[in-house]
Amino acid sequence: MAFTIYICLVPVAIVMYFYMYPKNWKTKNRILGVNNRKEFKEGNAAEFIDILNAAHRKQALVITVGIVIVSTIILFIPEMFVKMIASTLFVYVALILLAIPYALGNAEMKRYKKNLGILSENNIYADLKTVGSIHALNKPLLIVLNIIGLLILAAAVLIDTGVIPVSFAIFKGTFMVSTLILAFEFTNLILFPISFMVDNSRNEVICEDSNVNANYNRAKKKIFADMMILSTIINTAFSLICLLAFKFISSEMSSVLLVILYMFMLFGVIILFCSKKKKLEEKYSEYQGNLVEDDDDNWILGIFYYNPKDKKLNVEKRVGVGWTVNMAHPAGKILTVILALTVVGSLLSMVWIGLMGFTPIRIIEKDDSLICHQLWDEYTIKTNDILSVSSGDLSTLHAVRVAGTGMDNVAKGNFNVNDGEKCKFFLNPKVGKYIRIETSDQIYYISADTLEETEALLEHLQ
Amino acid sequence: MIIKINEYSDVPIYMQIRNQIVMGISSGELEAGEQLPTVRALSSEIGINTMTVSKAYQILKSEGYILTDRKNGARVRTEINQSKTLGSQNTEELKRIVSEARLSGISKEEFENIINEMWGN
Repeated sequence: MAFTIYICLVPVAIVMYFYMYPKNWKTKNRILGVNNRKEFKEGNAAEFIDILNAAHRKQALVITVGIVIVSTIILFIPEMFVKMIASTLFVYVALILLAIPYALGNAEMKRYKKNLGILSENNIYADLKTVGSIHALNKPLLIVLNIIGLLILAAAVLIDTGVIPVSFAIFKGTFMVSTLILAFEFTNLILFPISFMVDNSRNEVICEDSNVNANYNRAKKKIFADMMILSTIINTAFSLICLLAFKFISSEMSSVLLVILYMFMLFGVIILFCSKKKKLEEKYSEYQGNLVEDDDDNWILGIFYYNPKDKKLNVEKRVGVGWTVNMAHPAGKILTVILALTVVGSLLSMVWIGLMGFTPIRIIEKDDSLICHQLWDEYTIKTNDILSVSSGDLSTLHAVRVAGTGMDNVAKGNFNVNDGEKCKFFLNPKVGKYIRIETSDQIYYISADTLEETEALLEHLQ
Repeated sequence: MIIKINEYSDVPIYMQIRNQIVMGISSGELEAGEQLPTVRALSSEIGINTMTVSKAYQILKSEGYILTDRKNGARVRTEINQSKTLGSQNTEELKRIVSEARLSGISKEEFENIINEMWGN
């Protein structure tokens, strides 16, 4: 997981650096989240903005290099759960750090704009010849791809539930393949409404010539539509690959490789999109700054769009590529709350993982019962119910988690061992040894927190 | 044709839309019979309520500049009824503009030049 975060975070940080802090600001639409204007490109203003942009660019460069170094260091943390917590928390830290010079620069640019006597007029432009008539999304193809994806998901679920009498070579008895395909299809499900929303989004007016406006917006929507279609094709293709590959490939490593390959392909699509978008902006740069819709004050820190007067939900991002939501729109408020809850949820899950990692598992004998206890999880095995006790080396056991926790120092929950034996785990994998307890209604694989305690327990049980 | 909406203006948004479409028809930027965007598309593009655009279209229709029907949406009229007179409201407005021009020291010739430039060929 830490490696996946690494291969996501480092390229994103580098791409963000180049997008947020461009060297040649004069050819860009915006400077640190403020609309570029003719007034900025002349005389003292140009000199001031040159210095301001260079200063923030330098700060951002230091932060980006720091992000790459710290992310790499995190990869070498030996404890898996500490590595996981550190890398997840560092994603948030890195994104916030990278946005700080931008937000400070945005505030300075807004102040400087006021000093120049440029007051916000809040003009909105619309080209009557392009309104509602520019579309580039291949809707039938998108719908067909989604239907194929859903059919693949249905097939995986039917195989996993045993309705279709075919079994996967790995993850038998679990819903791992279905879950993996569900993840791909869930991404498609998110991309689907976004594709339609962006295709119907407002057209930018960059000059007085309607033909130029039409061509620019058509090209812009085409680039985004192509990215959505390509991403959907990749998701659907990977769903199909999962379905077919796990029928024949029995290596669990293949699923990890598949996910890594998927991540690389998605990055490829994003890089392709960014490069096409950059070329388009360069092609139309001569028109930029002619008709400026001055909505700088509606962009909090130059990043978050908040405009109660605007009835639109989606607006084009100021930083990076793609679209964002109007946080003043009722649906935008709901989406913001969902996003905030997701962030809080992921932070709480890190606390939970930390507690799991640092709390040792305990086996307590009490009133003719064996109580396996860690945090709020507890298994009680009645000693009278025990039919047999045996032990073994954990390395000889082939276990697949169905539901529960699988960490370096704790494995608990429902597992399948040795091709389909359903059982409950409550052990520390680092001990390297397990005690197998068979009762009248359940099979348990347990251990204490250390090898000595486990051996003592085994001796006592036998 | 580009329309510009100023949210801070004293002129209501529906009147800004109406005025600019009239100017567009007059200047030839909007040709006779040309299709106008639907109420929903234009309101979504500008980020305003559909009722505002609908009101602007209703006024344009009642003034005889556009035609609307369910099948074809809104179109610029091919033949606009020419009354050959300036309405009383516009006459009053013109009177105010001429007065202000005179007070600001603009000569009649200069004023006529401005009008000729606006009028076009």
